[in-house]
Amino acid sequence: MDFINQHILSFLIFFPFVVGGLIFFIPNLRLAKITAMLGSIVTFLASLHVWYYFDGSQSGLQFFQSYQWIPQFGIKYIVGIDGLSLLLVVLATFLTPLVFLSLWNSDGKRPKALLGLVLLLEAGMLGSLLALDLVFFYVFWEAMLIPMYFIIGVWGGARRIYATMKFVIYTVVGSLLMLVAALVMYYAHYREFGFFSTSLLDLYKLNLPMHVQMPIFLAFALAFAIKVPLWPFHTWLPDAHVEAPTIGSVILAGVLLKLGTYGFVRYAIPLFPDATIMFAPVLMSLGVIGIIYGALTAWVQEDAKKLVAYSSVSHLGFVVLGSVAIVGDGLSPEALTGAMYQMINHGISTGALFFLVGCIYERRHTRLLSDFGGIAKVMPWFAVMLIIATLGSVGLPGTGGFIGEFLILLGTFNASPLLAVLASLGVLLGAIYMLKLCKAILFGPLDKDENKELKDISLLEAGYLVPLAVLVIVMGVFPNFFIDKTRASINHLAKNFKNYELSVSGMAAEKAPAETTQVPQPAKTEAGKG
Amino acid sequence: MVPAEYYFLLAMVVFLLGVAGVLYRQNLIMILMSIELMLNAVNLVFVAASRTVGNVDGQIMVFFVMTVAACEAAVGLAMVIALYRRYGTVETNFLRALRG
Amino acid sequence: MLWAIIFAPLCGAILNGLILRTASPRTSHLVGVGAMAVSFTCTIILFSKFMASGGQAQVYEGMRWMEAGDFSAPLNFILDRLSAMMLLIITGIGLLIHIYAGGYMHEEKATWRFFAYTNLFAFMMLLLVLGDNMLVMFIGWEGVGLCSYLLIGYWYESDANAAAGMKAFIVNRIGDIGFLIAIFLTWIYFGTVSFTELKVIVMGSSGLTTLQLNIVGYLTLALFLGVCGKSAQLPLYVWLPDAMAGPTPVSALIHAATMVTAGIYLMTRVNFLFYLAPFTQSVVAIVGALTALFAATIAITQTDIKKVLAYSTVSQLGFMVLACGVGSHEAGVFHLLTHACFKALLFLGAGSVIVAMHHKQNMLEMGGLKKYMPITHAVMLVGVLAIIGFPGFSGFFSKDEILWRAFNYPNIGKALWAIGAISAVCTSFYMVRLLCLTFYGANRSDHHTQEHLHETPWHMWAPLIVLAILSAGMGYIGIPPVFGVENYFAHYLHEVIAMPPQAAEHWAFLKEPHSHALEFAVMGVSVLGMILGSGFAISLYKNGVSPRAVSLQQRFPRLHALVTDKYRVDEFYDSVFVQPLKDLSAFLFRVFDVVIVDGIVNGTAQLCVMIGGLASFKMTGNVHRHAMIFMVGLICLLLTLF
Repeated sequence: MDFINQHILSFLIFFPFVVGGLIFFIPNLRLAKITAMLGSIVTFLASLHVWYYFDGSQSGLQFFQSYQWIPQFGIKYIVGIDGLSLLLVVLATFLTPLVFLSLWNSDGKRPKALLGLVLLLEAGMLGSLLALDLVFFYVFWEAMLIPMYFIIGVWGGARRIYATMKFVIYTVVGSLLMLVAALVMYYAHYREFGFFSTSLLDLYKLNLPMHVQMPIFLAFALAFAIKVPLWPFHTWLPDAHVEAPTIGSVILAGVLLKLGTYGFVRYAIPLFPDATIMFAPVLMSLGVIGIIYGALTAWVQEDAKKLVAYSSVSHLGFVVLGSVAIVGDGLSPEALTGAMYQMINHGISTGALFFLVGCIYERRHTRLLSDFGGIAKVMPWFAVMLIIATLGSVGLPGTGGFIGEFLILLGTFNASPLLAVLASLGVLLGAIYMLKLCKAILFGPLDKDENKELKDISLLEAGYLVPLAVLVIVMGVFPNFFIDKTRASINHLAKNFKNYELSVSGMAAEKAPAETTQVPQPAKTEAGKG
Repeated sequence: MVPAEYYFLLAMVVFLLGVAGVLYRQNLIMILMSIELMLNAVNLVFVAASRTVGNVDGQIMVFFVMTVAACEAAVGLAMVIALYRRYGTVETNFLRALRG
Repeated sequence: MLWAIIFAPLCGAILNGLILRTASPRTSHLVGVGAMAVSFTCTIILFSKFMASGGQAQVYEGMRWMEAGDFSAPLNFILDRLSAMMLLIITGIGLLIHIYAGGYMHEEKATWRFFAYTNLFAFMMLLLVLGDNMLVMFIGWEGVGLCSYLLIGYWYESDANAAAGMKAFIVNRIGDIGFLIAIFLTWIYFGTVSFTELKVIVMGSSGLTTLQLNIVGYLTLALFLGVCGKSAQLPLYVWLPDAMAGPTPVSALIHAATMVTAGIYLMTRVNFLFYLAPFTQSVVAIVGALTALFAATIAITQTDIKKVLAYSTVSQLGFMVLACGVGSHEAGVFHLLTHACFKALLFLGAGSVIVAMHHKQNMLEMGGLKKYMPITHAVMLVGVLAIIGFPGFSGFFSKDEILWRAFNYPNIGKALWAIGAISAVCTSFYMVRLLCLTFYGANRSDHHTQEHLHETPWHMWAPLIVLAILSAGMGYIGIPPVFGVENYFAHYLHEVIAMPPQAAEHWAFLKEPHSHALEFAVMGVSVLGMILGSGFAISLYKNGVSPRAVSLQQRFPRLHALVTDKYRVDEFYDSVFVQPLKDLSAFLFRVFDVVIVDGIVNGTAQLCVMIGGLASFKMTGNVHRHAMIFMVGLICLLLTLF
């Protein structure tokens, strides 16, 4: 067991990677599908293993692994998991088998390559979630773009090239700035401590002066804000979603966007606490604007997928709002928990919504709301699923969405009552546009001839919709089951984000080379010039 | 024993010949060969330097370069053939896809 | 026992909704009724045990539900006299309505959906009532909203029904935001959201700090916004009349007896907070009184039998809110109780009429039904007598109690009383009008309908008789002391009403003795108004719409049109809030998103392409030239380096 626990995170990253690579060389499509499915299920089981053995009472890193990678430059291979990343890891591995299930009967364009790319994407996501070394993280962060670029660009809709270029260029602009900022930190660390390191555990100890923190924070924040996407950097998202194939949208909304908010929580906030305090009002305001703006624009959409895409802008506004709610001396732990919870819930309910829109698109080859109406009569189970997903999305108590939004608003109210009140308008507007979607598709007279013959969801479709629907409700009814795993880490971050340090629980931390010899005194004033 | 400078001089001459070849020959095959020439000039410097310093690192590097050169030649020639099939010529004057 | 009460309806809902989807309507009905019957039986047992043990509040601890940071909300339930009474209403009237619904829905092919929703509703309502903290209550609070949404849109094939459901959900959400804000404020300034703990803090000897007292003002106002949404008060009442699009048993269960009274329940549950906020209380009282009058006047001109009852419900809810506003929550809850009985009765009776009339709801096409439906007529008569406050019937005791308390309220009390009394007159007018137009005079329906007019089957009228007995007799548990007996109901609720020491001075008038003569005088005015209102209605509508009624309408055409159009409030909201917001959204999307943001993004890209295009004039495409430039560049670089 020890051996497994010591290597399981590397397994999580590289197993899908290897399987994904292999898929390209499997001649038989059926076999490729089985391999992909098995691969993703094994990964999921591995993540469940991590979930099970993860000790929620510890705030430090668990299943920690650290090796030298490029010692000359102080670059290491470090992976570890704590409460901040655990839920997202499980979410990512959970969604992937569902995605393969939805591809089970499809034999469209280059089906094998699609399978392989999804696995590579999973590896990329897990890598960036588990990495604790800036360079290592950056590699995976950029590597995720490549499969997504192809998924949208090859399997997408009519304007796929435009959409995928927009997606990649938007994201790369942010990440390049982040790279520059990372280099600045790299040198700053050298000046302060006398050795090079890109390990987060070392970088957390940096004490950067304000005028340095500000620009680097902004660079990091921009990269993450684009990924989230935070208003006004959101315009790539609707295009990408509308053009992407169903599974592309599911992964994009389900996990990829969360890496932006995860980035805030893991990197931007603890690395640059002073800048965070300074820019928190700005970020919170942008979050609130995003909530209301996304909701309003979602309301006037005529394309179901675009509506769901804009709803993501609104929901992720909540997550950003919750991540940076500063109360007194620390972050608000309630809001942070809510943000964490909302990330997962959004992944599940929006993932389900994209799947559902995909279901009717497959049948009717249109997503215009005006082409539907009264579908509940011919597709009753579809109606049940759509209503559950909708309720999860509008944050009805008893679904996961409520827990997330409630905790975020609760924490935010403590930080800034005005913003919380404005944000709660998003709750109202959310009901408006989601119910509009429901009504336009499910209710009203069944007057279109094409719709009268629609078949209800098949067993296969139920196979990936039901788990999502069940989770929407389970997350709302048993929130503590999920929060318990993250509580210690979140409270630790919330309380100590000003001088945040991550310890390694469970096993002895590998000592940084010069940590014991060099007293980190001398270079504090110089560090600014980095 | 021949002094090392001689080797370096020779390498320089060979390298410049390669550069001149790349710059002035029109035929892609000749250009490829000129590139090989440059690589070999570099190899010569490595070997000579390695010998002078008394360290085998340079010689290891030469093996590296040789393998890379072989690969490069294979790929390069394949591309030349592909170009020939597509355009019916390997004269660079006629290959102007890069024109803005 | 408590768990059985709560979870029996949930099991029924799951059974009907997920497992028995192909079952016959009869099975669905049985499951639905069975679940409620189990719940009701357990309630009776629990209630008798509870009262036998002295009726002290008990907290049932469930699981730890949600804990984050310092916030925690366990799934605890509270059983006190208030929630026990609500339990009886929900499960008892719920059971009767479930029985009735089997007959009402007999033409439907698959009723599993209906009974799944109604059972789910009962579950949510029980959560709402039993929750010991605001969060559990909020689950129920929004849960009943969801069921209401689903049930209003039960016949979803019609666009109007679906739209009505949506409207109900969204308008309720406006109120829910208020509730949410109240929860935040409570937690931040009191450190708990549990009602029990809150009560201890407020009633504590040390009292609240000035800051907390100020916060209570905002908190109660926010809570009252939630009340306005759920209990259909001005300005958020607009959803309730539209909600009549749902099946009639639903209107009786959700939109008359239980869900809409959640607001009154909430205010009574935290009455100690409301006592601390005199300003909020004035707002509550004024809003309640105005709603009562406003809705009553609209009801006068409605011709749809269910719409009349809907506006009547809004109006009666206004009375209850008024009662809470003047500090007499027990009177409000008493009216809640009697109203639950007689309004459920009226709705179900109207449902029977609608079934008999082949789903026609226009009263102008009815008339003379007394001959065809004697039982329905009899129970409806009891219901009408109860609601107009005919002496001896339940409404008389509960409504007059409210009016008397309003009368005693200082400053604006007399005005509140006057508004309430006028509303009561209107109430008797429109209810008697309803009765006349429906049951008396000649039948005005077409020949086909007339042939099929008949009394409903027994399982539809039996619940009505039970409700009629309750409507007639319920008042006697709360006879005002002026008649020389103890007010049992006020005594029963005594424990729930908690006057915080800091507010006692302001509410001292509640305890002041009053002359009996005055009370009898006020009561006499009410009875007089009731007789006047009903007499006027009888004279105008005895035999259908009399020419005098028509001429009266023609004398004030504008006013009549305005009232018939429900004061055009919906249109007003639409043009002031909805349409501008929609235009703004369209503007944001079409202009801001597509033109400005994307314009900048794509503009940047195009700028790059343009610059590249300019530079590319120098690109001849000649490899040698490129190589040459490359070499020159390299040499320059080397020169600068060395």
